[in-house]
Parts: sequence; structure tokens; C-alpha cells
Amino acid sequence: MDNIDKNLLERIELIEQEKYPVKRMTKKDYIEAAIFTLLCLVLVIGGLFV
Amino acid sequence: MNGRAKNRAEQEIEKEVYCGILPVRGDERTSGFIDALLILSGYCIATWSYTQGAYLTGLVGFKQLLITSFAGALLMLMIYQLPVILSARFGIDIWIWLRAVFGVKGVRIVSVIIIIVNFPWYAVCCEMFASSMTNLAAAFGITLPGWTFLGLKLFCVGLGTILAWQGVKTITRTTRILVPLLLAVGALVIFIAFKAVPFSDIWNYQPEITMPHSTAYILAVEANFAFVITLVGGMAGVPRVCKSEKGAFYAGVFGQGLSGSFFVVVGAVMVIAMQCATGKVTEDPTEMLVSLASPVLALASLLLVAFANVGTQAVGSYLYGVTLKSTFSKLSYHVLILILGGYVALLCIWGKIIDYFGSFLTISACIYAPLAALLFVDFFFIRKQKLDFRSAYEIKGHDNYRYTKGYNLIGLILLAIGCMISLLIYNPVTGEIHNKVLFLLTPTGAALIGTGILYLLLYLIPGVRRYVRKDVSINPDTTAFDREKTPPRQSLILFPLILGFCKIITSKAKLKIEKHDMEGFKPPYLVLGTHQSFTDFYVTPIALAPHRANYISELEGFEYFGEWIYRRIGCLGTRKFIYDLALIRNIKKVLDRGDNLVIYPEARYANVGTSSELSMAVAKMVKMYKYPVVVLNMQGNYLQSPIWNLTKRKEVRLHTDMYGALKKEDIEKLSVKEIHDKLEKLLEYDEYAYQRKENIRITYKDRAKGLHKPLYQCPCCGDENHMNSDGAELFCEKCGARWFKDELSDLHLIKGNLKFAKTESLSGSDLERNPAAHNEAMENKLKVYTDEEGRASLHIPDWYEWERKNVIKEIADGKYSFKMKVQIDALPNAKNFIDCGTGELIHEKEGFTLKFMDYRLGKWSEQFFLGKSMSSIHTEYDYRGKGECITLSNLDDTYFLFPVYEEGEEKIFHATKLQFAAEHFYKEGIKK
Repeated sequence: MDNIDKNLLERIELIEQEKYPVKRMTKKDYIEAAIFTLLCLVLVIGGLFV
Repeated sequence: MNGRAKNRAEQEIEKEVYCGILPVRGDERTSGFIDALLILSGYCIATWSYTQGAYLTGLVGFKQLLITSFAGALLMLMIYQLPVILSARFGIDIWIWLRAVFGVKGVRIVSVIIIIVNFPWYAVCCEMFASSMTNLAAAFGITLPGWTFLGLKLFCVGLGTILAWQGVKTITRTTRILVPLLLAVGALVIFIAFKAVPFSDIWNYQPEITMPHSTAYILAVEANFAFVITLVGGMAGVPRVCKSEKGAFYAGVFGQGLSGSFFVVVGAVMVIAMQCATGKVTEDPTEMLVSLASPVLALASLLLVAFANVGTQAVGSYLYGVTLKSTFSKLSYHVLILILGGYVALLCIWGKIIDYFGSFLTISACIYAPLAALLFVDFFFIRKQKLDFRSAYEIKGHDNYRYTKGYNLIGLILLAIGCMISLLIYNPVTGEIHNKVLFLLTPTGAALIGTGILYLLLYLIPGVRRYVRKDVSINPDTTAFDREKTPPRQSLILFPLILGFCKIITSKAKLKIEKHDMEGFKPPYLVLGTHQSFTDFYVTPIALAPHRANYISELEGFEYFGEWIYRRIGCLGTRKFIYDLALIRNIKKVLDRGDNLVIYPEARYANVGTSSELSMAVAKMVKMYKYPVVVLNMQGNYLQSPIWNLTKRKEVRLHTDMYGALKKEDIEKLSVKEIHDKLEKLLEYDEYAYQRKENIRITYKDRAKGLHKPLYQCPCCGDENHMNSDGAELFCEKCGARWFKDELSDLHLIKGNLKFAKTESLSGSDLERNPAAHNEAMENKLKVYTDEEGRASLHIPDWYEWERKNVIKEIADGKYSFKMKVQIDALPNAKNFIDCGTGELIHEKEGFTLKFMDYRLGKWSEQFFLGKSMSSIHTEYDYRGKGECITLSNLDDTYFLFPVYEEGEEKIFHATKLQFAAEHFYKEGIKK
């Protein structure tokens, strides 16, 4: 197994063990994103009547 | 490894991380929100923004233009960019995830198509760069020779490629300077435009259009949807190096939705201002800026804008270079960058990209929307944010994403359908609207939503679910099946369809149903049926018609056909050979509400076409419920399709006797034992006796193939592990004995001697007797007769019962033991199996012990299945192509146990032998 393949396996194991995690989107973040999306949708629909 | 070699190795790894496909670890991330925003802004800001802006001014007024450019772009981005979360979380490009969607080979085709249709954008950038430079030179009185136009285009390609060659760190440094300057230039251009013409002229601008305003508005929204979705192919190259999911997500949304859209508006403002100031319509920014501002200012602005194309070229080459790395992982990133640069260069040399650009845009928009939809649905709903990385990276031994020779047919078909959705709604070449209702969603929006919904709907089909989720073990649904749920009545809408279907299936076999003593029997009643094959489920509804019924069914059927449909055709889910009080309660509910309830008390298909002993529990249940009992004794179902070889034998005729067995007053009068004996008699059958009686000659050439599974022990040498079969013959690979199965299913010894088995010769009258009753009286002697050709011959059930007696003797002699490695697949519910890996199965007189990794406990554990609690065990001879197995169940799980053999190990696992032993241990256990 070459260097890259061995390193790949190590990285996969780290992902599976959730080592070095990055900050995740929280429930609040998803809600904010949903609200913003709805706002954009309302603006797009509303633009039809401008 | 010495220092220099280690350094080289580390550099190699670093190259594969940032310019390859190795997952970027959390501690290796280089970009915060601002850096990622700047890179993606630099990617979007190019003179194609002016083309887009100019196009929009031909459709809508300025106010609507602002709304569609910002709100429209942001709306699409907020949805389709969400899966970049996976890139930020795992440090991988979306094209690694898309291996699960399209298959490890299918994704290569899709990624190459995406690049082929996307890269003309960069040729447009090069055209605009060369055009801007030429016009600028002209503004200063310098006429460049014709050949310099191509030279300028290739210069743009070369410069972008050089930047991309350096990798993401160089691109980050460049865009930190370039993008703020570009945004400043954009603001300056807006200022120039509003200075050149009155604000109200721009604000109140309306185009002259011939189509309805609503159509023009929807086309403007569509243009913005299509504009931002073309970035889907490379959307994850930057987020994979981001430090947080939120930062990665919003960098993409705002980088494209704000910065990119801002330049679209800049372009539109310039066109409007130019039109107002000079009456001329042009989308060439050079011409605009020279007319509206001083040449010097225009020069500064345009140089920067021109170099925006170089920045776009660089970022695009990097993103798609990494994309191609996931497809051609053996090629170096630098080689791929050169190939991409070469492709753009060829398009520049061709020189007609602007003329055919509309076609490229048409094709590309059709593909991006379904691609984005599949990624979104797959990430959030299908795989629920979990990926089998080992399969995605094609680690040896992990093939969950190979599907059909490397192609996920479902994903590829959905992509094709999604492409067609857009074209079925609107023809972008002729401008014809085919479907006005769906057009309201815009063709891109409709393709996105339509593909996503279709994927979700298809996923509900159990067969599709099993195909798409071969990786289910990474995040299985472990919720136990809801046994308490009240079974619904068999659907009135589905009932005629069920009946019709059953009639069609059984018509060829000329099913005949004879009713006996059924006068006075009206629903609700309990129906006890013989259980020989899947044909039982087709015959029973016909026999009970016109009455509907509910059916006791093993959970495995729920998983195979889907819980929703299975409940609606009347099935109650349970597991075999367990004490399930919820089932007892549900049976009573069904009967109390006036419906018939069908039970197949043998639970398991007949192994050799003879009935199993009826459990006393059935009689107790009948006595407890006090509902009338009807018995269905079906003949031919096993013969037509025996469990050891399911191929349908076309000669077999089906016949069913339906008995009004016990009325309510009979149940009250009779004891449990009397009820048991009566029912057992009515449920008794011998398929081979039926075959002989009806003279059903089965000519199927492979009529013995698979018969070695129930007949695993050779009566000639006694060996248990070398029986095999093929065609019409059964043979022992140890001693060479061979048996020929005739058309009436008797076996004739054509080679070898009956040395091992003690034999009992049968007379002619014995040939019709019931072997189950006869064997009790005999010692373990194999019943044989001599046929007309002088060959030792016997009936299959006799051989089967002889094996059983041998097992009982083995147990009595203290020689029985079973211990081996098994593969365990747990079935907790109707959704999925759970691979529990390998474990150990031990069978002793007290019961079964299973040692394995229990997924519920998350650790290695032992489960014990008490022998006297199981009247038998379920056996399978070839379960879904995975081979022979047995099942053991508790209330929440059914464990399918397959033998695991070491290299050269004898095949010692016989499901039938384990069944014989389990049944004997049960009888002995309940005696005590």
C-alpha cells in the first residue's frame, strides 16, 4: 500500500471517529437559513407584482 | 524514513489534500468565511456578469431586475448550496459523495459531461478579456493587429492556468487583493452611471417587450436560477478547505448571490445608462465606460474587470481540476489543469463560442438542476448525512457503490429524467412554453423540485431502497418493528386487485377449490392453512373470497415488499417461533371487529412436502378465542415450487380442500387435546402422495437440483457433508452414490450400495401409507422398495424422516454438538437489515447461544435462545442468493445466521439438521 493510500485510510478513520471536527450548523442556523430562504421566496413572488 | 524522504512524503500528501481528493482534516483547513467569500466572489465576478445584466434589461424593469438578481439568485443558492455542508464537515468534494449517487464509474461520466458543458464559460471570459483589451487599445488610438485577438485569449487562459497551478493558497492570496478592488470598481461604475443619467431614468426603466410581463419576469427569474446553478459542479472545492460549515455555506451563497449578482446589476445599470445617455444598446463594458466616463478612468476600471476573467479562469481551473481528480485519481492535478487549459484554448482557437453560447447554456442548465436535486435529496434524506467512505474511495473489499458494474442506474436514470423535465416545460431555443403551470416554477426550479420529489418517491419502493442503500449498515434504522400497532383491515380498494392478481397467477395451474362442511360458517373465523410455498398466499384469498382477511406474516415480507403496502393487503407482522403477546392481542382485535384471520401454523414452508407437527399452542389459542375455525389444506403448492428449487413446475395442478373444521359450539365442547387432534388431522398432507394419486408427471430437467439441501445425509455412506444435486440426480461426492429422481418424484439408486442405512422393504400397499405415522412405529430404518428395474428406490419424505431419526440418535448417544462461525444479519424492522458481522453460534440441548457484536448494546455480547421456548426454527436454503441460513428471533430482532467457512473447511452447516435438533430439544424440554 503506498503512502497516499495509507494516509487515505488514516484520514477515513479520523472522519469515522469524528476527530478534528469542524463547527457544525446548529438547529438555530438551519432555522435562520429557512427564514432567509422564505424571505427570498416571498420577494421573488412579490416581484411579479412590482 | 530519513528526513528528506519524510519531507517529500509530507509534500506529496499535502499536494493530494489541497489539489487532490484526500479528505482535508479539520486542523488543515485554510479558509475562514471571509477568505472563502473572496475566492468564490472572484470566481463569479467576470464580464459574463455584464452579458447576464444586459440580457435581463431586455426582459424586466430595473426594480424587478434588482429583485430577480439578488432575491432570485439567493433563493436558488440557499437551497442548492446546502450540501456543501458535507464538504466542510468531511473535507471532501461533492464528487466523492456523488459516487454514491451515480456509482463509482457513473460519476466519471457525469463529471466529464459537467466539465464539457461548463468550460465554454471560460472561453467566453477569454473572449471578453481579448475584446476588452482590443477596445481599450482602440480608445487610446492603438489598432491591434488581428492575430493579437487570439493571442490575448490564449494569454488569459495561460495566466489563469498558471495561477491554478500554484494551488488554493496562491488563489486565496490573489483574491484577497483582487476581489475588494473589483467590488470597489463595481461601486465606481454604478456611481459613474448614476452621474451620467438621472437616477429616476434608471430606477423607472422599463424594456419594450412583446411577450406578457409575467412571462418576461419568470424568464428573468429563470435566467438567474440558471446563472447561479451553473456553479454547482465546482461548488464544493472551496468549502472543503473551510473552517466551519456555516462559513462554507454562506461563503457560497453570498459570494455568488451578492458579489456575483452585484456585478450583474452593474452590467444592467451600465446598459440602461448607455441607452439613456446615447440611445445605444451595448453589452460591451469597454464601450460603455469610454462613453460614460473618461478613458483613463475607463482604463483603470476595465483593466481590473478584464483581470477578473483571469481570476475566474484560475479558480475555475482549480475547482474542476479537483473535480477531475476524483474521476481520474491516478493523474496528477497539474496534468489535469493543463488538460482543462488545453480544452479552453481549443475553444478559443475555434472562435465561435459566443455564436453557439446559447446552445451550451441550454444544455448545461438542463443538467445542473437535476444534479443539484439529487445531491440535496441524497445527502439529507436518503443517506441522512452519512457516507461509506471506504466504498466511496473504493478501498478493497468495500463495494457498496459499485451497484451495477459501477453504475447506479437509479441515479443516472433520474438525472436523465430531470434533464427532460426542463425541456418538456420550455424550449429555450424557440422560446415556446409547453406547460404554463409548471413554467411558473421556472424550468430550472421545476427540474430541481421534480427530480428531488421523484428520487424521494422512488426511494419508498423497497426494491429501489435496497438497491440504492447497499451502504445501509453505516446508519441503519434500528427502531424495532411496532408489533402493537393495530392491523388495518385489508384495503377495500386493493382487494379486487389482489383477487384478480391471485386468479391470474393460479390460472395456469387450474386451481380447484373444494369446500366441505362450510354451511353456517360466516366471518369472522380463524383460518388455519397448510404452508408449503409462496403460492399459499395466492390461493388463500381466492378460497376465502368474497370475504377479506388479515394474514399473519413474518417481518421479512414487510421488509421485502414495504410496510405500507403489506399492512394494506392485510398482513400482521411477527417473528417466527417467539412468544408474541402483541400478536395474540392483535389477532383478537381482528376477529372481534368481524374480519377473518389467517394463520399458517407451520410457520415455515414444507421442506419436503410433508406436514409438520401442529403445536398445542394453536389449539389453546382456538379454545381461548372461541371463534369458528376453517382449515385450508392446499395441495400442489409445494410440488409446483419447492423451497429447495423455486422454479415453477408447469405440469402441477393445484387443489385446495376448505373445511369448516370447528364451530363455536364444537370449541366449547371439545378439550384442547381434542381440538388439536382434529386440526392436525385436517392439516395433514403429503405432496408426493398427492402427486402419485393425481399422476402429475414433472418433466422439468432440473427437478432434483437443490434437493441435497433437505436430503443432506447420504444413506449409502452416512456422510452428511458431501451431498449434491444437479439435473434430475442427487449424488454423494464422498462415496459416489447417485440417485435418479423420476417424474413422479421417487428416487432410484443408480450407482452405489445402501451400506450405511438400515433398510426396511416396503410392499406395494406400503407405498401409499403416510410416512409421518409409519415412522413412529419403526426403528430408524430407511424405507426402500425395489422398482421394476431392480433398483433400490424410496420416497423423499422417508429419507427426510430417516435423517431426523439419525439426529435424535446422535443426541441420545451424546454425540451431537454444533459450534461454528456465522455471519449475522439482524432485521429489527421493515426498513433494513443490519450487518452485525461475524460471530459464533452454539447449539446444545438447552438452546442456542449466539455470540456477536450486538448493535443495540454497541458491544460484543451473548444472546441465549431457550430450546423449550421454540417448537422449531426457521430455515432457508438460499436466502436472497446468500445461501443457506437459519433464523433466531427475540421480540425486537430476527437474526439471519449464515455459515462462515474457513479455507478448506467442510460444509458442516445444515439448516435442516439444526431444525431437527431444535425440534427434538423442544419436545424433550417441555416434557420436563
